[in-house]
Amino acid sequence: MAAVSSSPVIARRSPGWRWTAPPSWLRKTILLVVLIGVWQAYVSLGHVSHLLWATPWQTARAFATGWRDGSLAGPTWTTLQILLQSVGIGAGIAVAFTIFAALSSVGEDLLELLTSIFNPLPGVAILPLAMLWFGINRSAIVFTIALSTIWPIAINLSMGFRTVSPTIVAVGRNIGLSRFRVVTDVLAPAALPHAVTGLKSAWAFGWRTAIASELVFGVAGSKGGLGNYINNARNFLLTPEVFAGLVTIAVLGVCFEALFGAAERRTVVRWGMKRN
Amino acid sequence: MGAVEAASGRTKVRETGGGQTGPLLRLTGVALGYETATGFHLAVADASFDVAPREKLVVIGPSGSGKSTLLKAIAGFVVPVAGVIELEGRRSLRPGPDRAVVFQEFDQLFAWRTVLGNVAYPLRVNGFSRAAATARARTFLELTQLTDAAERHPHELSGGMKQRVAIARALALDPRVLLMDEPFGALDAITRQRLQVELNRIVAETGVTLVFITHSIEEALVLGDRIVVLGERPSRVVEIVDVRGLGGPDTVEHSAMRGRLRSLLTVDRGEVVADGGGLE
Repeated sequence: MAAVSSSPVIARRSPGWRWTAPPSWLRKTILLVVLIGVWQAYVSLGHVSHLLWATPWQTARAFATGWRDGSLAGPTWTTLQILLQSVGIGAGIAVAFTIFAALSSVGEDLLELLTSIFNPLPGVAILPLAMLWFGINRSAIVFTIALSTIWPIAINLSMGFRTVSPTIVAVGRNIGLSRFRVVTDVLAPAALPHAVTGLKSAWAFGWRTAIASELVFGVAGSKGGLGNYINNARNFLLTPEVFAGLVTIAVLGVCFEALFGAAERRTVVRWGMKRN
Repeated sequence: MGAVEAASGRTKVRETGGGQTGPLLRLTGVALGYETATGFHLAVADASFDVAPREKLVVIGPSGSGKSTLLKAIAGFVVPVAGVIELEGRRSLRPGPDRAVVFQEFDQLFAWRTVLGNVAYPLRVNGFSRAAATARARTFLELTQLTDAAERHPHELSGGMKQRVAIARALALDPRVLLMDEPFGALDAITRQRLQVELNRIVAETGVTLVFITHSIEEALVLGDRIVVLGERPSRVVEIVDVRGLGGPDTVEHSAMRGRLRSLLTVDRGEVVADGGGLE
């Protein structure tokens, strides 16, 4: 039997039921239910203060109410808008910068220098300065988030550019493409797997910076975002609402992961440039 | 005709742009090298040969003889350190579709385009309308027997099919000369033989001029009209052999030629240089 099995995972327990038998979504749902069960058990049996820990049920109710009356949906939408705008700006700058770096050696050095300076910098660290420059408003947050998303995209994209096969670049020149069009028509699609990785991590950086900025800020202009919602709920000791805000962030994270996954399956996976 | 024209004082016309009577491609005293961390390395010391229109010229040489570099120089990717490469009288050649290249590597295809897209896209780049590019691409996919694979992506193809796509793509560009850099080098023996036969058919049907790089004597004999033999690095042209009308692989002449090429490829460096000098 062991001789037939191709991987050690299969060899371990050949007959009977295996954890990996059901599909991935089902396995993860089971794990999620177990985790929620542990959470419920901890709150019910652990003698914890109900002011500090909400039960799953309370959280779900706060979540549902917040989305129905807009008290949670509004801030979520505000944060998403800020995030989309900032990541859009950051990605635009990163792409322009990386193309410049691909075309000139000065640009290449400049990009390398700037990423080594800014990439280790936590996004929120620039917020106090942004507040001085822009005031306590939406622009300051957008600036801070955009700055934190440029570098992961630029690093991954230029890494993608550098690892493109020299043969396909030669083909691009051979069929008569200009230097610029070699970048846009050959390097860019060839580096797409890296670009998606960069965008994913930029999105993650953006989320962190956005929530952190809003926690620092309180209200951004007239409308507060998710970070502000969570902080407000904490001020009024509305623990279920704090939990509901966190759940919202988690749910959105899962949704975007699925969205990126679908985009990858339609492009780089379908083209055989990345394994599923 | 050419002699008459030359005698009547029209040599100048012929030199600058006529090209009809002269060689299609001419290499004169070409030397090629590259800069590395340890200094300048000369790969090709002196290469001179002509390629006539519709000719199939095979360049053969031991590994490291700079034959690939020579092809890259004709394609315009490498600038010679000495000598001249002329295509129909034009010098200082930049990379362009008039010298379409088929490389050895399978990743020469655009992974994100279908087979049809791979052939049609370079045509779009060169001014074809979408409809015209697609129609022409389909014609060349038919020529290379890839019609059924038109909608597939490169990663779904076998190595032999990928190379056929590259051949179709290069030929669709209607190059003045088709450059092939060991295109079958990474294929298994059976696929390789099949593609050699198929390439002969395709070249005959399109009448394209071919410069083909290989290190296989057998491949050179199957494909070539003439064979340019390069020596050890820094290489010179050891000999240029005409192998037209040699007869099948089982004939005496064929095996005699095979033996001769083998001995040309294995002579040591000193003799090669002396032979090369003697030829000129």
